[in-house]
Amino acid sequence: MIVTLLIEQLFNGVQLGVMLFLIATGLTLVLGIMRLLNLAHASFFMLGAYFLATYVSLLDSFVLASALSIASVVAISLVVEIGIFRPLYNRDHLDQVLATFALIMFFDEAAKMAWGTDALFIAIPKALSGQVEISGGNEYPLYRIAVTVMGLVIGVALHLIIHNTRLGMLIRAGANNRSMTEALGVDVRLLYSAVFALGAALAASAGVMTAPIIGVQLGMGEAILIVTFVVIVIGGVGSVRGSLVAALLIGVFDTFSRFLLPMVFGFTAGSALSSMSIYMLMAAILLWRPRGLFPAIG
Amino acid sequence: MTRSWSGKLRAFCGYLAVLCFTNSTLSIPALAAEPLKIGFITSLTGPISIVGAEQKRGMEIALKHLDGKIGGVPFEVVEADDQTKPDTGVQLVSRMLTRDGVHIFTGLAATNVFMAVMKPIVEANAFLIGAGAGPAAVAGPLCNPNTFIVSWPNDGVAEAVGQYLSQIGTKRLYLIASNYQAGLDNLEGVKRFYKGEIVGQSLPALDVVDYSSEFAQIRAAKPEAVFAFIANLVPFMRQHDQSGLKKQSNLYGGMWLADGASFKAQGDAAIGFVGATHWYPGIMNPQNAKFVADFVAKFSREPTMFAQQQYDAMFLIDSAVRAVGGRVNETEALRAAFKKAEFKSLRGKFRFNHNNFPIQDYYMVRVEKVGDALTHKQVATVFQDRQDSHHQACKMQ
Repeated sequence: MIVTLLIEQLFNGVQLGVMLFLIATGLTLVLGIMRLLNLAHASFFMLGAYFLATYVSLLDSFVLASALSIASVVAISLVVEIGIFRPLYNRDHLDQVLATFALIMFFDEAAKMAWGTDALFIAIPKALSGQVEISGGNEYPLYRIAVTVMGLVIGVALHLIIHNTRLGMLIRAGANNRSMTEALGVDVRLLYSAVFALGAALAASAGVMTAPIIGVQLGMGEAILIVTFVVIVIGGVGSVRGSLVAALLIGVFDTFSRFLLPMVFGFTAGSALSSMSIYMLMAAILLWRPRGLFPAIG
Repeated sequence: MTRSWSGKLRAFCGYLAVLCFTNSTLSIPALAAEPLKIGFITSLTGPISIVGAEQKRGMEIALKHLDGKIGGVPFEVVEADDQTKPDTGVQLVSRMLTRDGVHIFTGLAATNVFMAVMKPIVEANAFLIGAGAGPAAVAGPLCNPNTFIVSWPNDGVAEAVGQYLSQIGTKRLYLIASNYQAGLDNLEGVKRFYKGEIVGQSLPALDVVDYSSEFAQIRAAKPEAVFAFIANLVPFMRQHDQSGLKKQSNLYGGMWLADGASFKAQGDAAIGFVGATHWYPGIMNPQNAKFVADFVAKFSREPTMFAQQQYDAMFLIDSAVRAVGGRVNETEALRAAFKKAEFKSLRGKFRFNHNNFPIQDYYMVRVEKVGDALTHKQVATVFQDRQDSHHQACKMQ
């Protein structure tokens, strides 16, 4: 019985990890390549979910609504990148933090005006509702499996893009040594826009996939932003591989500590400990490798 | 020199004016030239804003039915949002006591705010008619003759669930509660009356949005029944439905886990949930039929227990103010009138215990789908004339 519980928890952990990976990748690339600390990244996650709620109510197709939501967020991200971030690239981190923090408030307030303060809930698509049997006769929600598989597919696709295409080569080069890349005649402005839009698309896709599970509400991005920072710090800033490993690590570690710690340390102390477990893990990893698991050079 | 003198003179005049103004507002309620003011302080923002907003809706229906007069005298409601913060609540109370001349306070959804404002209110010899929070300490050692609770003790519905599960012979129970004081109090409430085995418990943090880890534990523990006290209720209920756990165990909790406020968001996920309550929309009496009909007409959905509690509180105040002929400064007479509780509660019968908490019945109601709409159907009466568990610690007679 304990084995089937562990297997189900592993599923849960991987699912959480995959979602964290999708959000963290955009953040780590933007920070690694553009040296821009974009706090408003989590707003793209939230906006993806809100757009989905609207499009689903207008269209019959969940897939089409998802694609439209991601496209809408990409369009917004390009406006933000060109209009607001370009003048900020040469300023210091404090200016960037102030500007992107202001963007969080702007997006929250805009979402409040457009969609109201009540949480929105999106039905799980008919074909993916219901449960499937996993080990030992235990059932697991089909939608969660679909989301995990989808996230892993996106992860593999991202890996292929980064390692087998010209854009991927430029991204790796930009993360490793930005000034050398510029010196070789690469149009950095175009590269920056592409990376920024890619990151926004990944965050929006995470928002789209999670929305039917957790619902859509104001501030849902900020809640996950802190954990996302833990992921990129553990993974090493700028490294996509690092963010994948760290996201899965955090996802599984958080899920397991939520049920194992109360068993070990007792009900009350264990529950309290489990909510800080990932931060203790981060501290331990930073003691061992101060620049994260897979630091990008540069 | 001249300028400074005139400045001082102006300041002095201003001070006099304030003094004059303050005095007049303080003395006016007795003259009844100005409307009687009721202070309505509750949590319209913050973590339990859903409760505060629902109290406000109940207040709206009550105001409509009272039609401008409470206990036969003109009145107005001074409303304020305590933001679920105790210090904000205390500031609002002192402002209303001095500036508005408020003598009767109601609302108070949040326990933490309630505990903070109770002292300044009773020390001013004003009255606190609680329509939300029912802290255990106030039912017990801190009970006060000027404090009346129209709603319930905080752990009342949890005790009813525990008692019901014992009555139907449940052997294996799993407990899950958001990790904060109210959650822990509710688990204690269940344990006080549940006789069977507790096969496991989880305390997810208050801000958790994904409960898959907890559901996996429930599945592995194989309970017959699950008791839940989860603040973030809609994601919890929908994910519970998705997890397929309904096939394994029944879900129990306070009725608020699935009621008129969240039926639309929960959809069919709410079906089958069994909640404990002291009132539900289907209770048969003329006042409740009128309340529910007008609420549905205005808000296009069924009212919740929080709206009902605030409505009841307003009609309790109505009965007491009428008994003293609008002379709310006659504290002794007003206190006795509150204690008598001669109003038509939406619950049907209603009376106060010696600790000024209600003596009332508790029911179990199941969420069922009738036509296209979800509704509550009574499945049992768990307690009749139930006094709370803390009243013996109250020395008041």
